[in-house]
Amino acid sequence: MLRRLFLRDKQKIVNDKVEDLNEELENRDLFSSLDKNIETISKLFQDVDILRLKYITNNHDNRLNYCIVYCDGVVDNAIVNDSIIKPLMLSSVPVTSKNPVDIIMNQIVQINDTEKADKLSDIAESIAYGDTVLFVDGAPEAIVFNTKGFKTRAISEPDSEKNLNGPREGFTESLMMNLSLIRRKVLTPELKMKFRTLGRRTMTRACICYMDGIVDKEVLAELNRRLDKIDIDAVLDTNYITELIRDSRLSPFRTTGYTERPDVVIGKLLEGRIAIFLDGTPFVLTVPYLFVENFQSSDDYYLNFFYSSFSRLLRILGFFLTITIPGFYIAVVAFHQEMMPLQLFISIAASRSSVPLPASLEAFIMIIVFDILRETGIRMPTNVGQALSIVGAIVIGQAAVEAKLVAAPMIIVAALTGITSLLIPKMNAPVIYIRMMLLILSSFFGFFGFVLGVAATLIHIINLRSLGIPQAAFSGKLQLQEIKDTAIRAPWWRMILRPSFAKDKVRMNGGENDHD
Amino acid sequence: MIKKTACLLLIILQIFLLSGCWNYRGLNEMSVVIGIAVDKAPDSGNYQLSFEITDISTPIKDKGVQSKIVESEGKTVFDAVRNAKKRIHNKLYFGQTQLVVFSNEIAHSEDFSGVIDWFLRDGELRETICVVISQEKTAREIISSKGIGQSIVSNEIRQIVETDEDATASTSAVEFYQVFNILRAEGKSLTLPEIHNVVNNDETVIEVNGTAVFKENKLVGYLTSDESKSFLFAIDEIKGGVLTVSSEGDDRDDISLEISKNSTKRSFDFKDDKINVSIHTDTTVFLDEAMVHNNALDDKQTAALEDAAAAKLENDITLVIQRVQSEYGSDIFGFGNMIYKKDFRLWNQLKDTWDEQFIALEVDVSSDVHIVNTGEIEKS
Repeated sequence: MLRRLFLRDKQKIVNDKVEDLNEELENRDLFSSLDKNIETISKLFQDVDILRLKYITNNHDNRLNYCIVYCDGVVDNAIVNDSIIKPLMLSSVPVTSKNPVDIIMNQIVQINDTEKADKLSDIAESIAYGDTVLFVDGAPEAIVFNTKGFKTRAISEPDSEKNLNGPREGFTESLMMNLSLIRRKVLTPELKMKFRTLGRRTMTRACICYMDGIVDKEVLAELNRRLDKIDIDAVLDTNYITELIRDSRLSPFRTTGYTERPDVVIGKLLEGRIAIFLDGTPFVLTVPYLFVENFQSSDDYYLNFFYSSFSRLLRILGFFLTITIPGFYIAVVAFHQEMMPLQLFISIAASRSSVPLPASLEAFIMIIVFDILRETGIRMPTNVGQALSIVGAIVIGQAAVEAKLVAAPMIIVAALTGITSLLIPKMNAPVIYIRMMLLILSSFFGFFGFVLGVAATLIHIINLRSLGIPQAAFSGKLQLQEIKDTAIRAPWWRMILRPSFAKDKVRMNGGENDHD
Repeated sequence: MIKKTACLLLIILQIFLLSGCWNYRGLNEMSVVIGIAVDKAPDSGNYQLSFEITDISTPIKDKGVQSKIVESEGKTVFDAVRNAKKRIHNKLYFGQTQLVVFSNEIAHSEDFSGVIDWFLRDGELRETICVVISQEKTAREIISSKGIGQSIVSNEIRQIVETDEDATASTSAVEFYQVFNILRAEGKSLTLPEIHNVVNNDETVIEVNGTAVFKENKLVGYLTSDESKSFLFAIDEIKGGVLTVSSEGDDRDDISLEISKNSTKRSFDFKDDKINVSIHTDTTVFLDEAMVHNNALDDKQTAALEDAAAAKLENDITLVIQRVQSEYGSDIFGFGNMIYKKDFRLWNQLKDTWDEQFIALEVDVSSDVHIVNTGEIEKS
């Protein structure tokens, strides 16, 4: 309770500050005088040296004075020169003083995306975002031209989600380009894209995508409610949103999905999920998120269903192995030695005979060492990679065993734990904590603690919710249709229904008769 | 919130209450006992125990795991177990013990159910440990001999005894809990595997050598390996082994039949205060060796062979029953137990005089042998 009050206070301070900053702009209208407007803009963008002002006078009628304002580097200069400045200078269309803005917009400037604006705050935001704003002398309005043109990264295959088959496109940091990747694959007007702005200072564009007719409107309303509550000054990545809208804030498990692949987003949209795009990040959020999605990969749908069912089972097995192996090993080796077959027992006993540390401490150290190696692998500059693998493999593995610092079975346990954890990259965070918890419970209470820990984990998983949808349980009664895309991936001709949270459940014709 | 915290505390409390008496125990803090030999000191009457423990101090890479013997003496079995701690720094660990060898002297002279009490009562030992009797002077000689297939001889003995029924049928494996059950069962006597030392390739090794016969709580005698086979036929426990027959009807056996499947039916009837037991064996065999017929056998020869084998089997089983009746008077076949299970009222009448009844029992043995396969030699 106290903590919550404290947080609210802090939030309030931030709000007030931003409020003060924006207040002078917020409800200010434009003046009729060009000079006055320019003066206001210049004052607003004081010390912003990339702001460019360009005064233009019409060749035929030198009473027509304009000024265009834009930020250098975020506009496409060719468009500004050819489609704005050139027509404005050369046009012989008479501009009456009655509604000069409309005439300029409709008859002179050759730009597809134009908009009128009279609020200073809107204009400031547009300029910052790459638009060009035209002020007309004598008009209390300005025209905003879409001249966004900045360099973006090329579309490439995402490194975090490699595939064997299927499309190789990946999202980039540009919101519009990302949306175009979706748009051109789904041609039905059912695909809705709603913009909104997040972050008081960054004013980042976000886009909510969903399939009207498939999505459950209540889930959508819930998402919007939660997004409305977000009150933060910056959103730089979708993870900001994830943490702000999630159901159980302290759970290490994911309650939102993320992907860098357009095909994955479309697949999820078509199952009734909602995608949240954010400008500036290639990662797209999808909600609601089911627990099985942790084990899914887009390859599952592009490869033969026998193969993908097997690899999905492997991933589930990998999850259980990676959290249980160290705890299980300690429970057996330190508490319940009679569980082992004699030969295994003897060889483990022999390799442990002259090792200085107790088995549980050894397990603890080895797992931390593996995590250090993994983290190093992510953070280090790529050109020293070889040094890491030599140190990691030879020194910590072989040499430690030969020097009798670590027992050989422990190395195998740590290696298996590490490798299996790489099978399920989406669960890195929970896996580390659960594994440690099971290890600690096992080292104090043997199998009893181990089983208790596993039970607690399962209860927690079953309790997880994503936007109010239970992540692990289904609609209450188990139906075969609902488990066809879980532990295995049933062939496409058997997956007749969508997941239960979608409004329109039938994916295929004939589905009504075939609910086996 | 309070409810949640309370629930969590309750769950955590469970750990302390329910985790029992087990304890963290490092593998390097224990001496792993694989086999135990129980002897009796001739002069003092103390129990002398020898433990075969794994020797994990020498690297196992080169020679595999070696074993060492620890000896100790005490007034009772457990006293002797604890006294071993005086000689070795680690406590003995019995969770992986595979074998207990009793000397025949102890089995002869003492109440066997008393000697095995600790093994069943102690929490660490398993109930499925293999029990054997040493035919040597002491039990220690058995576990201090050398294993051929494994360096830990106790484990090898256990595996020999356990797989014996399937391959050679020379003894009948009994686990500790079964010893306890049989000693308390109605109309049934205990048998245990019998081990002795032999010389093999200039080294002393062990060999299974038939079955030890108990009467009530004491050892009374032995069955040889061949007699054990007939004994296994009689109690329907045979699962493999070789049946040798003579083709000519003379003393020299020259045909080997591999036992593939056997079912033994036993029944009794009670007439004129006399019990008649009939045993019928129905055996399926493969012809695996025919020293005299180097060719494929025809139907007539096969039929003759089947008859000869059946006759030999009948004779063997009858002989072993008669020998046990006359020499040991111990119902190791469980005939009394059969009556107890089938006709409880009759058993109550016979119970008190069963020892005499058993000796006078009329046993009628009949056998059927079917040769289903004559091997890979075909008519040319």
